[in-house]
Amino acid sequence: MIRLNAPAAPNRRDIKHRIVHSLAALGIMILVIFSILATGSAAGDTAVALVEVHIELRPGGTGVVRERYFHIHGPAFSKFQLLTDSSAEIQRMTIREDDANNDYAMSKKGPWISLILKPENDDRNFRNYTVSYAIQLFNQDSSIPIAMPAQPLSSDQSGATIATIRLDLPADYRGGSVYLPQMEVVQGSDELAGSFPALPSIVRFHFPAGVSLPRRAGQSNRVTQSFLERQLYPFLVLQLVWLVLYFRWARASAAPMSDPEIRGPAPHA
Amino acid sequence: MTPSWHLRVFLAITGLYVVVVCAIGLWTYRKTKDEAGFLVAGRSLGPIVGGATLMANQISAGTTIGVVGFHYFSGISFLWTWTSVWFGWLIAAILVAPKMREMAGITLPDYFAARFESLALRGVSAILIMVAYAVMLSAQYQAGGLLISMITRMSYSQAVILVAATVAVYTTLGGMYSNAYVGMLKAVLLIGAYVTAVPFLLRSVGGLHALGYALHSIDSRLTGSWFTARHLFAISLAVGLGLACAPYEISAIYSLSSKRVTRLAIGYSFVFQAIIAVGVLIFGLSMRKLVPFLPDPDLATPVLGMSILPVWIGMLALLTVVVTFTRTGGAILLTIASALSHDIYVKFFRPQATEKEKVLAGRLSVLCFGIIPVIIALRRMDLVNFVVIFASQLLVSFFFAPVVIGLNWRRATREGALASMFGGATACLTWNRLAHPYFWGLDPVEAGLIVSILLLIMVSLVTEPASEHSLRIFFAPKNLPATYDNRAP
Repeated sequence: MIRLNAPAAPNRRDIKHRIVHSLAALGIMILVIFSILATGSAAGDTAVALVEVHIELRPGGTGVVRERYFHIHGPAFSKFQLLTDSSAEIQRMTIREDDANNDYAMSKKGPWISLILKPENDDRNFRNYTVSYAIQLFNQDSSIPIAMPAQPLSSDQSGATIATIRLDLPADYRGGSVYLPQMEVVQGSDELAGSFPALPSIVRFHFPAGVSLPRRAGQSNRVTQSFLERQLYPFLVLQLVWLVLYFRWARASAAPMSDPEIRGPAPHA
Repeated sequence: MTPSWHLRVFLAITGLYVVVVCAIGLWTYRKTKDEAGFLVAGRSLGPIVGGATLMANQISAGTTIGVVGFHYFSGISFLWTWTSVWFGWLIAAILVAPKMREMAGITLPDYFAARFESLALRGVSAILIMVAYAVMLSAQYQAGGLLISMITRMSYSQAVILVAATVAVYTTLGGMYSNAYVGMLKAVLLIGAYVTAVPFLLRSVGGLHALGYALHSIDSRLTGSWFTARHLFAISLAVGLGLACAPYEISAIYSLSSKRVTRLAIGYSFVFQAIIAVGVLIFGLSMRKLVPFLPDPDLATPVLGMSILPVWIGMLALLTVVVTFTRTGGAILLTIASALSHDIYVKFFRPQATEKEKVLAGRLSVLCFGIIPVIIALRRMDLVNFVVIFASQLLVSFFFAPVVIGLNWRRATREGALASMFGGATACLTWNRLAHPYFWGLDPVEAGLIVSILLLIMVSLVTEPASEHSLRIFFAPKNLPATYDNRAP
């Protein structure tokens, strides 16, 4: 008589091992996905520009803007496209496109940015306000500021905004950050006291596909290779090896028969 | 300032989280009929929930905000501090967890009472746990209060009370059971947040190549070595070694269903932390590229959640921060409460207490110590973070040698353990008072550890060995069950 072995139902240990392997596979998959995303690189990706505002109004009505800057990635200012973000409560930034109908076409005057300061959900009229500001422009590969002229600006005639700042960027600007260390409301500021929150606020902009970080002539991949190869990838590989070795050890050293407690309750008094 | 609809979404999901957590507390309430049920989940946790519990104890706001801020500030080299966490878990898996689980105590002071047959060691260790952990708990409340008040229009005091009340409610109701299941929820939320946010961030910064280039442009040390290996070792030593002897991790180990499960649970904890390590790294580095001049690196996570990520992923990222405050707070609170109810009240004042009285004492201790750290947090001590770091160093100097060596060296004695605890703590305190640079380049925790280990060995060798009865619990021949009596003083 021939007896066939029926397939054994998986026991608890098998199920746990499968879960371990599944989780390890999940971890590997996540690492692989990260790697694929990493090597997918910049072309076609969106970039992000930010405006951060930290406003503190002095007693007596003189306003000082602290920690105000916006950060721009990518050299292609002419291709920037503004996606107005309704999250802007106290300011809006616009980046004009370089097109044939634009007076500020990049080929003529270079790119420019306007920054509109306006509290949202505030119905007051800001018609007679004037602000002065100083501005610093940084190229992304330099910590030396490019001096920009400070100029007082008045609120627009409709009174809907406090101020609109227009910043003409140098034609050879390669992208980087623009820093407004100070902004003062020099006229009509009494009503403003206390009206601005002293917390950072950020406006998000998405750039269209095709924008990528510039690479200067002669620049090699040395920097990014050191970043990837010397620290991050070795860490990921080490972490993975560590996990695999650990589970192999844990399985081998914690065989069911070596554990008295799984054979029955511990005989604690 | 968060726009109103972002704020509403954040408040809604935070409110939902609070409701779910309290529901978990209610659901597990019926399981906490005796002391073991309340304080160590009836020793019933399996490897996955146990692994999540171990991870959830360790991953606090210090990781989701602090480590992200560290990466933002100092770049990639801080990543290597995770190796000390691996090392700490390995020590726990090999040298600590199996024996602790076999002993099947309730609290870390139970181990001292059993291994060294000393009521004094139980009392001293319980008091240190209560003091150090109360400060650490207040730091969780303070950080939670600051974050929530910053994101919402809630006042700081209201936010602190909200965090503390959430922690107190689910911990009072479900004890370790609710901590375990909230820990599992925390693991799911953390991994969900990182797995969804990291791909978006990598796309936003143009991939890792572009990120590396941009970071190098800002400061070449961000992609190189901001910290030297020596610095990293000093920074991570207390965290890594602390894992092997942290009172809340020991309580979690007691809660696992068997000795075998301890090793698997630690493995799962590795898996969770491996994902979190990569997540916080990408968070910090991406934020440095996207918003390179934040006034405070600790703002990296809140700003990321509020303004960079798509709203639902951003809200999930922010929720994970709230979860880390509340869940780690729960573990700390339960550990403090168990030290008070189990080690002080029951062992010193009411040894004949019934199980019902013990559980009641545990719940009342949770409520009591749920309030005290709130008072500390409302005072908003500027130096609280330094106090927390110092408390961690002190705990390692105090507990590491008596726990790890005491569990694995038969010759360790009660006198040696006492000398080790006080000598290590004194050395750590003294070193901390010395001006920088420290003598011989030693960090306070390194000095405390060296003194603690030397004193344990030297004093043990010149004193009477421990009794065979106490040694049998920890050094019994293989496959013989433990004989620790939890009712012993």
